[in-house]
Parts: sequence; C-alpha cells; structure tokens
Amino acid sequence: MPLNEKDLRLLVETCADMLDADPDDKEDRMKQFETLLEKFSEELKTCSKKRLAEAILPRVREFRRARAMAQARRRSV
Amino acid sequence: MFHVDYHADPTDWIPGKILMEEMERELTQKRTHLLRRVSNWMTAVSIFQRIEHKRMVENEPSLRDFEFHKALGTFYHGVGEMLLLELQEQKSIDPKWIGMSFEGFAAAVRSLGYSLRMWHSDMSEAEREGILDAFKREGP
Repeated sequence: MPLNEKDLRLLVETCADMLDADPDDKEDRMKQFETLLEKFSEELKTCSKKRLAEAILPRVREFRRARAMAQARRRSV
Repeated sequence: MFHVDYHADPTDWIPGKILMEEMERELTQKRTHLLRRVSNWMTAVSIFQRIEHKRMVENEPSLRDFEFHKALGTFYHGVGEMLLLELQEQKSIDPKWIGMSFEGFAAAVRSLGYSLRMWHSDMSEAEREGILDAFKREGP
C-alpha cells in the first residue's frame, strides 16, 4: 500500500478523534490509531511507531484547532 | 516555577491545580481506596482536558498556558501510570465497578501521554520533516 498525503491525513484525523473522544469511546479510538501507526511505521521501515506518532502530532494540533474553530463558527450561526 | 498567582484569571488552570493538590494529598496519605483514586483521576483529567481544549485548542496558548499545561499534564500522567501499576498488582480490584475497563483506563493514560507529546515534543523540525518526507516520496 503506498504511503501518501491521504494516508497521513487519515493518521492525523484518527489521532485527533482519539484525543477528543469521550472516555467510553477512548479505547476503541486508541486501537484504531495505534493499528494505523503500526501499519504505516512498518511500511516506512525506517521509523518506529513512537517516532511516527511524534512526527504527526503537530499536524494533529493544527487539525484539532481548525476543527474546533469550524465548530465554533457553526454554533454562532 | 509559576510566575503568576492563583487569582490572575479565574477561568483558567486553577481547577486543574486544585485537583492536583487534592491528589497529592491522597498520594501522601495513601488512605483512599484504589477505585476511588482511579475515579478521582478520571474526573481530574476530564476537567484538565476541558481547560486544555479551551485554552490550547480553541485559542492560541500563551507561554503561561504552556507552563501550566506541561506541569499539570505531566503530574496527571505520572499519577495515571502509578494507578495502572497498582491496578495490575491488585487484580481483585477491577475498575469495571466504576464503569470503566482496565483497557479503557490504560487507553486514557496513553491518550494523555500523546497529548503531552503533542504540545511539548522535543523532536526537532528537521527530524519531523525527515519522517514525514518518507510519506511523500513513497506516495503514488
């Protein structure tokens, strides 16, 4: 499976969903995120799951901010 | 370490700091039942995450926000790791009695760890770009 910008976006969104999930849903979201990390880190060969997570986390931060702002705008309409 | 007082802004990190002090007291006394400490941890982290969302995600965090977030988050993460160890050792105590599986609690602790690395990672920009470049190079 090729690794591309779409896969990266999937990782970022899955991580953001996991971080923003309710406690009841956290375990399932965590499994989804860590399964993806495992899969992509194996395909990249050169990087561990932990390093891949560290690399994408700033993008997750930007994504969460953009999503929170969009939600706030929708609420104010 | 902190360069502001408790009353600087009543809407910010004060609830998280008060809950941290409460947990420190519990840790010192070691009197409280493990399940109650797990439950208190879940409540404290839930409040911490609400403040985080308001101060760090919905708004541009200040230096002070970063300081409080790192200090409180690291404390809660450490306590969570300790509680996980205690739950592993005392198998007769199952967090399902307070509405959460052991795996669910472990996921909550790991999630807090990811959140801390998201805000306070020491990975350099060059290292990060190097890893992400691998995605772009191997794409279609």
